[in-house]
Amino acid sequence: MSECLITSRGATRARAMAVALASAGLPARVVRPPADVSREGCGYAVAIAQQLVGQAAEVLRAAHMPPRRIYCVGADGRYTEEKGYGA
Amino acid sequence: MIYLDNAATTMHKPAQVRRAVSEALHRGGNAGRGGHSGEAYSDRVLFECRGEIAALFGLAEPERVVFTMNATHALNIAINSLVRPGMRVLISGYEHNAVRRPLLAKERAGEIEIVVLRSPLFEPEVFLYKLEAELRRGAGLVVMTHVSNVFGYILPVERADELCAEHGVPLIVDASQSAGVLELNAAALRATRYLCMPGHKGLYGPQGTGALVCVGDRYEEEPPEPLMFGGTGGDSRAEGMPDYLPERVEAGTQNVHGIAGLREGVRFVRRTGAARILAHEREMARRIISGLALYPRVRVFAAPGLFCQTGVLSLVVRGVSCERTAELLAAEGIAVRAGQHCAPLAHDSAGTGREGSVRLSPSVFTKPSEADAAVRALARIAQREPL
Repeated sequence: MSECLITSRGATRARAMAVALASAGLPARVVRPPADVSREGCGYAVAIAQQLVGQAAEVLRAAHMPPRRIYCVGADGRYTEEKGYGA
Repeated sequence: MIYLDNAATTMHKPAQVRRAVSEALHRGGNAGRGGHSGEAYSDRVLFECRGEIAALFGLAEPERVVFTMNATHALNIAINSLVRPGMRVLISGYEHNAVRRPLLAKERAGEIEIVVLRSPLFEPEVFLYKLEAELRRGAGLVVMTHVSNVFGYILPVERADELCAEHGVPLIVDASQSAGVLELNAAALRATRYLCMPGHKGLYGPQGTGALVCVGDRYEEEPPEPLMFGGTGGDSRAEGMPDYLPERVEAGTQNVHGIAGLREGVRFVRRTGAARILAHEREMARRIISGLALYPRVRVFAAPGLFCQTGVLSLVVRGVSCERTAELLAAEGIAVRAGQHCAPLAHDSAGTGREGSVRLSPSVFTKPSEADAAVRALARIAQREPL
């Protein structure tokens, strides 16, 4: 199952995002994203199944935690930024 | 020991606090510094504790809660964030040195002017009158304690907040003696920017914990200024501290072991209810007041019906120094605090001045028999000590 990463501005916000997503029935976990996702280094993100990412973006916007950026794994195994979710 | 020094720190903690600290010592990695299970455990502890503290004050966002070493640390961040050169800063006449000294340092540097709103003990209307008068003269900031650490005097924070809001002046509240004892809906406050509190008093957490709670709608646009700079576990290539909360003001490794205990302490308070805790502490204070009423040599500082007072009591035994009284009580296994209580302003306002007072402060764990034992011991001092 392919995963996407919704980047967060910090550890506390990442936890809050994961809790909001779990409350909406969308399983997510807090992860440390790789360097090509974390622009300033040592970032935080929530990982979520690719087919749920659109719903997740909606849930986070409704919870006043709009996603910063969303990255999904491409065919080459690298994360590329997804612009289609209004992040 | 009969422990009546809970205004200094609640020495007796709920069992779950001790268990949580022990568990964190075994399981806690460095929060925000790794991606392993130990780090995730600590991250969760911090997040849950933030949520508990936010909820205690009617706030939804865990990010509003910044962990500090103690209330003094939180007050220093708050004051440093809001004080600007040339400001006139209003403070109550019941402030602890945790407020007085950081402001005095700025006044002595020629940066600000401090105006102390002196008002008699247990006269909240007089305090409000003075506050409004000084707000009309112009002020940039008000800093006030919610409850005097010496006398248990409850200052009218909500009404002060309204006055500050009418004059467009921000308010910092020192909740050191009220957090966990008095209910306060921070979401309804209009001028308050920060609540500052220790974790180890009414929140029943370990020493070395405290919190700065960011109040109001603009906490994200105008976050507090860092007092310390360093690693936060994130955005490591950025040269400055993050611009978001709480990481902006949390440089360095967090006290996860203490915060694990604090989380359970706050949960205990929320389950028990601040109103019940206050009622119990007041009941202990009433036992002491009524027991000592038979001894005119003992002067107890009590508001009528404790209408604006928590369970914290100050007293003096005429002709016996406060330190001697505390020493005699300690010899009988009763722990109290005597002297200035780091609050000379409060003693000057109440008229106890340089002599100070003897403070008895119960907690939710104080038993009626312990309050009665304190009365008997004080009665013996009043009867036997030479005038």
